[in-house]
Amino acid sequence: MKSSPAVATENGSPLPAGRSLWQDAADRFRANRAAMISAGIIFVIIILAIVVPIWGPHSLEEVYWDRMLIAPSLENHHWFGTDVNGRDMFARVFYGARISLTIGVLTTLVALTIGVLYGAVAGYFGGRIGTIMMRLVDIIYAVPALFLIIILISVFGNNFILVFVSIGAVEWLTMARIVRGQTLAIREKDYVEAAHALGLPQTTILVRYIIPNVLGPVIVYATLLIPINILVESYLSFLGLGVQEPYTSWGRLISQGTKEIETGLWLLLIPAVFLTVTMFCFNFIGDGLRDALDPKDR
Amino acid sequence: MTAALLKCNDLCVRFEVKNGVVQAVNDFSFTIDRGECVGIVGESGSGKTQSCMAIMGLLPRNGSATGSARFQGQEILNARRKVMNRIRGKSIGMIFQDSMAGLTPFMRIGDQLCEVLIEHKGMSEAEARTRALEVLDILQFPQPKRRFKMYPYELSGGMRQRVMIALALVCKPDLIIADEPTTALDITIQAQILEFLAGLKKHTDTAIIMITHDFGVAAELCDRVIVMYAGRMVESGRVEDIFARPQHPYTQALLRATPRLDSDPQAELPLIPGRPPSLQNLPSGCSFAQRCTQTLERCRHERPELGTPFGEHLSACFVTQSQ
Repeated sequence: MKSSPAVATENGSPLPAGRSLWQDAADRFRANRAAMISAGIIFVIIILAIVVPIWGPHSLEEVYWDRMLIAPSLENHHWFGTDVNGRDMFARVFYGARISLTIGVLTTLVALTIGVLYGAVAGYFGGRIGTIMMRLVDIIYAVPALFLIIILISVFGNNFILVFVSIGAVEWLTMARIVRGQTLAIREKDYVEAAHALGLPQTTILVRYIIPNVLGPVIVYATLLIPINILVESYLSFLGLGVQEPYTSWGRLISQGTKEIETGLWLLLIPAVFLTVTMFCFNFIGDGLRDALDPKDR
Repeated sequence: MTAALLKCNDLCVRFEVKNGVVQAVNDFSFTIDRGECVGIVGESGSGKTQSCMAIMGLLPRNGSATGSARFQGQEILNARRKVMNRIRGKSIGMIFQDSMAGLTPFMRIGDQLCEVLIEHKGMSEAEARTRALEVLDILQFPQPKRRFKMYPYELSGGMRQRVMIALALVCKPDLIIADEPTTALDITIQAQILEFLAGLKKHTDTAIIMITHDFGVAAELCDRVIVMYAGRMVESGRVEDIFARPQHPYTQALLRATPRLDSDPQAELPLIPGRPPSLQNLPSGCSFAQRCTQTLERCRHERPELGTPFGEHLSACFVTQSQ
């Protein structure tokens, strides 16, 4: 247990705010070097993804007829070379980063919202309602996720918003299971019983007492879900179901790069390296968060 | 004499378990008047906590309660959640044993206190804060203003227990159910908490149900004591009578097993041999018969009813009743 500065201070000094368990976890996370470096790399990629398409030397769509399939060089600012159509890869990779990261984060948010609410309700009310809710999850689980996404996209047409909504709509299942499991454990805790004994309404107990306490493992899973969702978008794009030309994502760039594997290896390697590094970084961040939020350390 | 604050009749609590039914509380009847302090004493599993949980509507899913519990004339046993939420926290406060586990870790203690007031009394945040600080002050909570914004884990055990008591008290309830409030605390804080509860009893009209396995605690605080064994009330009476003239052999044995200041510190405390009967398979006779030193033949087949040896004193034992 941490000793609080409040004990030492004299009467009359400004009120010290309590240090929440979250702040403690943040300190532990900062002490984790791999996680901090990963967070730094992700931060740099995000900044570049914002800045490059706006202020970069080349635009996303501009075609240089005289410079097709140029290897990475400093000449004409084609730092990552150009593709078969003579478009600058530096611009395309960071534009792809925009789409891939946005999809990764937004799909995870969709999955997080649906999963936490669904799982918490199923776990808290339990009994028959909970059983029915979780059997429904089992049924959706049994359908291959990719199959479901492809159906959703081909029925509702292919647009950016639908891509992440449909990925998120499939990925919430695991989240719901995790949250339900946690809720079942938290529901029996003394402080929840105490909240009942204080006559607080069910919604208050669910929102203020249960959900904050299940959030730790959920956040860890969410950071691990971001790279998974980036990957799902990649293979959707690879299959031609993701974003459409002239827009691009890492998955789409990799898919196009594989066609030029003999003539322009950089077209495959550069987006693949970015995707891999990003996935590694998110995984390290997730690990760091898991260690930081581990209740056993408290 | 005014109507009883809480009147329980034939309260029974059953738990459905895999291999049968656990009869945790059987035909438990008692009343509590305004401003009265009643101790419920008994060993683990004697049903003292579960009877209070049943009254509060806090039984686990596999538990069910029958009988009747009237609070201020209103039936509250198995009442709907909506009804209970107007009583729980507002008219009946409950103090739990484990203060570490009783406060939600992600909420500042001030917010936890204010929430109850806002919910039940419709106070504004500022009013709630004033009232909450007032209660913490009464509880001699050190530097309440400073600690108002702290999280439970930053407080010591004694402070957390005070917050728990404050939570039970903020709405000025008519009845407080204290479930072993001092068991998890060290002896000095225990004394302070008991002193506070005694003060509360003296200065306000609040009734207290004190659940404890410690006769010393009961003696210090209570007007009346109910002794429970294997889910049944075996003896009840004024605290002086119980201590001076215990009627039931179980009470007598319990009192003998309590260390006293004037007893020889080297001497071994007399134990009660054997174990309490399984609540899944209660004997047809007196449930204490197997451990009793004065068992009669009829004790084994017939269950003794509560009788009155004298005055308000009740005891369920053939031996003392026949004397």
